Amino acid sequence: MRGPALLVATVVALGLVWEAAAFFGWVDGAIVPPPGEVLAGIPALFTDEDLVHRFATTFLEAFAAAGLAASVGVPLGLWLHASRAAGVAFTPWVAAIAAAPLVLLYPLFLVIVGRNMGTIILMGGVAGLPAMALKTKEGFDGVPPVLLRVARSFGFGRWEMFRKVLLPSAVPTLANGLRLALVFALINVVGVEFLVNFGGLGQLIADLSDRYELALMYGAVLFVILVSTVFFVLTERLERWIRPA
Amino acid sequence: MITRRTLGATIGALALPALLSRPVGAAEPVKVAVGQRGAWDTSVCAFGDRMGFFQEAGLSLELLFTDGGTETQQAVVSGGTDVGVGAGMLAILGAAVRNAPVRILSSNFRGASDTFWYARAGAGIASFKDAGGKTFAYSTNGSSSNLVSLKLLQLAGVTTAKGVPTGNPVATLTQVMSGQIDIGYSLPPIGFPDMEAGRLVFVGSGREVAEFRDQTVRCLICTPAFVEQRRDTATRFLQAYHKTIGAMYTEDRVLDWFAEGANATHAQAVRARSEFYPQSAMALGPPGNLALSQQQAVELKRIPRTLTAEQETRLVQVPWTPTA
Repeated sequence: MRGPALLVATVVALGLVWEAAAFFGWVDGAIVPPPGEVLAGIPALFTDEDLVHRFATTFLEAFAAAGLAASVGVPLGLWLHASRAAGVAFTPWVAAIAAAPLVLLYPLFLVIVGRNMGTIILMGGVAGLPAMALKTKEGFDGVPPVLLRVARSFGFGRWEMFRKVLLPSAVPTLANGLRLALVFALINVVGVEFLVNFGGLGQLIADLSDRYELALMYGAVLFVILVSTVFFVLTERLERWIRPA
Repeated sequence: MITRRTLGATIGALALPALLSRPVGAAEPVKVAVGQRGAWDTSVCAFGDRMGFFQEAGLSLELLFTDGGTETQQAVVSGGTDVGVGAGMLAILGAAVRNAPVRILSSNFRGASDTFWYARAGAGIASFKDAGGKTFAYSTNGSSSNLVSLKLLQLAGVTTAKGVPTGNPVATLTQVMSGQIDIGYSLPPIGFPDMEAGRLVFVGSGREVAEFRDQTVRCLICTPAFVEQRRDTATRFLQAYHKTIGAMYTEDRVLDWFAEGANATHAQAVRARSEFYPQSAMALGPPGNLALSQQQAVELKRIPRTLTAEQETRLVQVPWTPTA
């Protein structure tokens, strides 16, 4: 069975098990609505809950946050790669920040930035930044020395060395970094939206949960997964586009 | 040399105190989810436990504190706790209309006298009449603070104020002090020190909304199993709860505990109790003015329609009401 077919078959099988569990009363349908009910609720998300606007809001916030993470994380990673002292001094700290639950800092960001989209984007960006920086360092650290020696023997200057040797070799790892940054950014964007009751899909999920509209809430969660999937497809295409043939 | 007889006697002697100290009837555990830790009306279980009333009733409380909102209700609906204290009425109706496994054990708080609004001194806001074009806070969409603030604005004739759900009162205070929100909401005694210091001014309170006075805004909720299969336990729980409420209005030591928990002074605790938490609001019994709550829930799109008679009967299962 080919990959996509296997994926679809697995999702359908899990859905059927879930549906059966609710039908036979193994799980309480009032707490875990069956997939049929979740799917039936999706049109209401569009008509009553402004889903398109919320989806776009979360998508753009996560995109902006990942952009922020990349624009700061790539230069930071390059610095950690280029300066041995900086690499030794700060890499463990950046790794430690990557593992920290930064979402808990939202009250601080609320006071500093305000109750607006800026807080959500900034928090998402900060969450994605360590992954981007570490992967950038890893990408440039991992360039095979033989390539550098050959380039030097051809008399490449700094810029030429960067453009023709370092960057192309590091692209796959940079793309992984960007993907991770997007994941961390999206998790934090949705999490902060949920916590501060502001923004797109996270706020919708919080609101639906408050109203005990569980079928619709699970439907909204499916759209968060969709945002993540769209980002994955986009980064894969981006990587293919900039990766050397 | 240790003989078998000596060994037996030694084990017997060691085991005897343990056997003698075993209670005749061990206290029955009751798991309780409590919202908004430190608030007066949600502290009943903690105070009653401290005064020994629940132990006297043969109950051993296991308290779990939540952030309020629907968290308390979720703890009960999932079966994680037997009882929930301080669950919002509109959220309960939302769950009930979708046949979630939750029951109302009793009214918990009637009216909105406990919620008040304030603004920074010098901001030119002395009452809700000055709220035009300003932002005002409430906890979450559909909460009692949401309902009351809308009513207060309506009474003041203001239509241009913008409501913002700001979460708990402490987070709200931070947002008001940093200038992000014009009018904050709070529950006593949060904000009292700043008002006494002149940094904040009182803007209005839920007491001003007469039509909400008898309406139950928060309930004691429980799992269906608790009230249906452990009805005697539920009754003893309510009796101990009621006894605690009585003591909270007669014993000064409770005010000290409240002040300690809320990081307030004794005077502030006294003010909170006398001005914001009348004993009548905490009376147990069936929820007051359920019809109005349902009407509000429909208007705020919390429920698609009012409960059917069957749903209402199933939801409200009050096993014991104190006699006047």
